[in-house]
Amino acid sequence: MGLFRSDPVIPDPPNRSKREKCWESRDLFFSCLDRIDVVNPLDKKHDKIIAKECSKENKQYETDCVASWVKYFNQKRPFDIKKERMLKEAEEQNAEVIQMPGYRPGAIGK
Amino acid sequence: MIRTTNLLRLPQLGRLFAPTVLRNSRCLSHTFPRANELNEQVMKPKKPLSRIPVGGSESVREQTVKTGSTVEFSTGRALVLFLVVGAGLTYFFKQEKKRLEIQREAETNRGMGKPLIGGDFNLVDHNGNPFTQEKLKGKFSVLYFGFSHCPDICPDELDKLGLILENMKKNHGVTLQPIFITCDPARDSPEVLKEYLSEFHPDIIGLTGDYDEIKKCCKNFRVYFSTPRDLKPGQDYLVDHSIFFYLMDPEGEFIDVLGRQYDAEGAAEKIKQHISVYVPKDAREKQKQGWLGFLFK
Repeated sequence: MGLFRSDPVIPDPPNRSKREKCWESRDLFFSCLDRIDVVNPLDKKHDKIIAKECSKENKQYETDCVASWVKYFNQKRPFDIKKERMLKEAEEQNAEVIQMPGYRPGAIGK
Repeated sequence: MIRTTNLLRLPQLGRLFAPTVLRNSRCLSHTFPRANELNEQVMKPKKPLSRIPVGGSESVREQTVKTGSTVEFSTGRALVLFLVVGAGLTYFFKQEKKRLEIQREAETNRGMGKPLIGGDFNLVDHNGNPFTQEKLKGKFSVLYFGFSHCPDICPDELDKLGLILENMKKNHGVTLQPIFITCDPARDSPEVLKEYLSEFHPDIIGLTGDYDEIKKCCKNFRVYFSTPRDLKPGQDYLVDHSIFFYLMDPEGEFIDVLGRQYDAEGAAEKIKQHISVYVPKDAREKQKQGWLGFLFK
């Protein structure tokens, strides 16, 4: 890979450490979004506040994760939050969360 | 005259009362039954001698029956026996029912004639050697479709696969053949797969191939396949795909899918159940044709 060559570089598949680093940066960015009450980072109306409050985290996130992953995680975030809220609500209404043996915790819908 | 004939018929005791009767003829109808009752009371002990065993009274006979017999149970013991046998049979039939249910489930999945899921494929393994359905024969295999650039689900599932493999080996003594088939042949060359999979479990065999072979294979396994055909090298994209483990029998035929809802133990348990009831094809055919065949239909 030369500095002035524009050859397309076939990226290596992310390995375990790279994946974990990406997830970590994502979690940092998302916790920053939690602080400023942004659910959907892809929503244009939040662009300003994200740039103001979480630009550092966002930059790190975008360096550690490839663009397709960033897009995927950002799209996934509102759904995860919605699901979490529904479960919390159910719990507040004294609904019992049944953990079936042999199943992952919170297996339904994930 | 009637009076006298009746009196004459009276047994000895009746005759004792006879003078009274004669004196007060009006009471006659009442006195006769009384005389009869008395008569019976006196007669009772006189039973036929043949009912009493020789040399013993009745009470003695009852005693000998109680102590002499070995077959007789107390109610308590009979109850315990009943419960033990009952519980045993219930357990046995429940197990058998469960076994047949799982077998039937597998049988339904196999389908008739052409397999509904699975079939031959012509791919290349991570060492560059050809890999077809033939290689599935002789051992139970677990197939997984994915791609190396998968953001979060595939790595999770592959880690789980590693746990399942270890669990099966340690707890059930079964070595499964784990296979990872890529849905993204453009980026996942044998070398890439080799490196990628080595991080999860050393046993996992990575399969790739040309676009059409992969597409056909995904179609045969009913895997949703969305990889675009013409991709520029270095392009960054994701691939949508179904996330199931496919359990294949030692004849290379499909048994069941395991969805994402299972944890490693749950999946291992399910696989173990299928393996323990597995019957080879020849034996299955024989079962169906035998006189108990109706049970397997």
